Amino acid sequence: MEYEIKRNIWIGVGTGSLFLAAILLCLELFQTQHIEKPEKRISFVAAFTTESYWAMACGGAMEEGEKYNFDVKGLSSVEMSAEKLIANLESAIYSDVDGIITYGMRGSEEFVQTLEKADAQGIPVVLIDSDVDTEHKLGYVGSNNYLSGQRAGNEMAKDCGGKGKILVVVSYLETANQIDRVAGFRDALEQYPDMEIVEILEGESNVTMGQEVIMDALLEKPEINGIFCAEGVSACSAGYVMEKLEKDCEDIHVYAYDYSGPINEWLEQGYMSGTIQQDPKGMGKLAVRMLEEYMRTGTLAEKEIYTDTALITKENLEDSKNIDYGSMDIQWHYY
Amino acid sequence: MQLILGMALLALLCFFFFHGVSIWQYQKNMDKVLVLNDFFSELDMNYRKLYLYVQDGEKEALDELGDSRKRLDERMNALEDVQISEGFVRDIQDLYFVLQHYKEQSFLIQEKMQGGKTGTFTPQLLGEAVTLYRKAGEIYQVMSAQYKDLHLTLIHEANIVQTSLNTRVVQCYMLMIIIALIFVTLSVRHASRLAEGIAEPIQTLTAGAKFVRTGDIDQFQSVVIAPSSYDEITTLVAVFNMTIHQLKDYIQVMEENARTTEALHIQEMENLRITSLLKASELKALQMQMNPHFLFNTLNMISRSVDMGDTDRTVLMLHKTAQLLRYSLDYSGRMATLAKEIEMLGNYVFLQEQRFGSRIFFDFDLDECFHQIQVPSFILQPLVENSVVHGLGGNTRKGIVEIRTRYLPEEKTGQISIADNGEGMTRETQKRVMAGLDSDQEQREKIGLANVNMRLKLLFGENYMLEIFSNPGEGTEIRITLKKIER
Repeated sequence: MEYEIKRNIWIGVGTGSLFLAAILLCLELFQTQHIEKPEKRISFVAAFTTESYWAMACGGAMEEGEKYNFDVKGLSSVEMSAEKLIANLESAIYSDVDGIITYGMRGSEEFVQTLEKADAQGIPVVLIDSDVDTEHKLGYVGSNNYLSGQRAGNEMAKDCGGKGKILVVVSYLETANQIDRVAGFRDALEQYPDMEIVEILEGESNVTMGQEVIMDALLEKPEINGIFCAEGVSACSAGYVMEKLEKDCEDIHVYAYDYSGPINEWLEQGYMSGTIQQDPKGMGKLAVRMLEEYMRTGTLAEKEIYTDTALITKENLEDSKNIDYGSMDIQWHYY
Repeated sequence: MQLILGMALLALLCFFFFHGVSIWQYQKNMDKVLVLNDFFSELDMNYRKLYLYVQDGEKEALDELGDSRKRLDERMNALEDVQISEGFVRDIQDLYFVLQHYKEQSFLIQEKMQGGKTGTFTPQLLGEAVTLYRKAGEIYQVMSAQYKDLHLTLIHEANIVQTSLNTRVVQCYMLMIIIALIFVTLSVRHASRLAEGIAEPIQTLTAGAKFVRTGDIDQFQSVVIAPSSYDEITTLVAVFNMTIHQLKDYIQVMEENARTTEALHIQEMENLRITSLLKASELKALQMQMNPHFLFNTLNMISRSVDMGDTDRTVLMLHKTAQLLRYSLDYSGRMATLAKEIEMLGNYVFLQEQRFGSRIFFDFDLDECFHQIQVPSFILQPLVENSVVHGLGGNTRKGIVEIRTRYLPEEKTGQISIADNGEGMTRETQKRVMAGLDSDQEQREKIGLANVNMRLKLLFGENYMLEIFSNPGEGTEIRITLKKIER
């Protein structure tokens, strides 16, 4: 009898727990999932996503957006493409979003037209990373590209002992931020009569392409003793070329932008002299903050906000490692 | 066994349940993808309808466009209900606004085309409609461009949901396995305990059986097991105990029977012996009743009396002798009252008095209150004869024989005593006589006392007692005590 009762108890316990598990599972399944719509919809239209730079900018914007219940959606194309950028902007504009954060593409009539369109629909657009001079934007957040270029130029001149033939690599000649950087760089070199820019190359935001042009240039002009990469992708290209040619920065001084690829190692191994680290995350955050301020007050106290830049060299490499530059996982929309 | 089967069934049920849930969820996700596909296929259709309408401006095309627009709205609503993730909801929200722009263009086109139908149609209006159509196309492209991304997002999110569900299902499985393991552990523990619970009482039972087998069944009490043992074992042990006890009882009965039979046998033997003794004693009694010497002496005495011419005395003597003979004939081997016996003793005494004259004196002291009891015939005469023989033998003085009966009412006991004043017996002789009463048959037959003793003993058994009181030179008293008699 006792045995019987015990057995029944255990069967009861077993059945009970299994049923409990099943009920919990069902509850989880059948709970009507309702997602609250965000207060504001922001579209972050990035230039391209081959580098973590834009992911960090977008991540910063998303982080900041959460504070204000802004939904930040990242739109981008894999590679730099004016057409895609404008298409993404169009998409955002047709979606009647509450705000757009995008990269300022200078020298493009269409881009300005698109901004105009947004403005007409009352959508504020904040430009980050590079600025475009138009009244249709709300404001600009980014590094002071001219100043950072100037700083790189001074460092380069110092390294070369005021005497050097410098190769400049950009993504595209018309790219706004790089125009500023190169301008700053050039102005810095002006102070040194023996410093000169021998060539400006386009790497087309493509690491392989960049390697090719840099390699050719170096072979063609062996007198080159300095490379200035005005953006992150060509920095990567230059690094690989240096590695392949086994030239360290005693032979060729390399100054670059951003913190992509194995730059850390190159700095450590001496293939690269220094890199100008921008604050993409801060850019994203500030851009959202700017939109929020505008939406709340209808005006902006500051139309241009410059984020910090830092020169990372072998000496302060350790410090730079402490900075949160970890890549962010962004669900990009590629329309 | 039932437990394991139950568990297996339960596990199977759960397995089906979880799989069902998983499949159901998958179906739900697939439905969402279908909703998305429906929207975009309708969008394509709508754009085509718009094209056709702009082309010919017919009412049918307009109607179809309107229907398609309605469907588009419905599907948009369905799409808005797909709350799979924040990102997707946001995307659909964006898409919704784009769709509104598209519809706006569509309505504008309709307006222009309607204007054309009402007669105010101009090439300029057509041109405007075409421009609007181009704009609509642009917006259509914006939406179409989102299809791939939306599709991927949806699949991705659905996959996440499915994965999390699957994880939960796996967790449920794990829970099930853990429960099953607990069950198995408990079952094993329980089984071993069960085995112990069975084995231990069985061992006790076996020990009990062994004990019985060695033959000590009388020493066997009961097999005692723990009270918490299982029913079956308890029953088994109880039945075993019962069987053994019944066996014991049976053996006892058999032993009892054997003993009884033996006792009966002994009794029978005794009876046989007694019967033979009786026969012998009866013969003896018969012999003794009329001792030939006594008869000869009496007849001799009567003859002398006739010679002397004493007729009266002769007649009396003959009468007494005749009475004695009559008694002898009538009561030989039978019972008579004590009164009758004493009456006949009187006749005998009379004849002895006639013979011995003043040499002997008979004294009767009788308590007749119990004289109606039945006694064997001729029990007193031999005793008196002994007293006469032993009392007078070689004795020169006057012999006295006292015949006394007495009743003790408190003890319900009657006493018959025959005493003489003869030469008496030594202690040794007394002992020999007393021993001779019960033992040797040969000797017993020789002695009248033994014969009397035996016959009284046969009749009264335990309630009878014979005592001899005697001292050398002081005479002998034979006392017969009969207990438990009524007056």
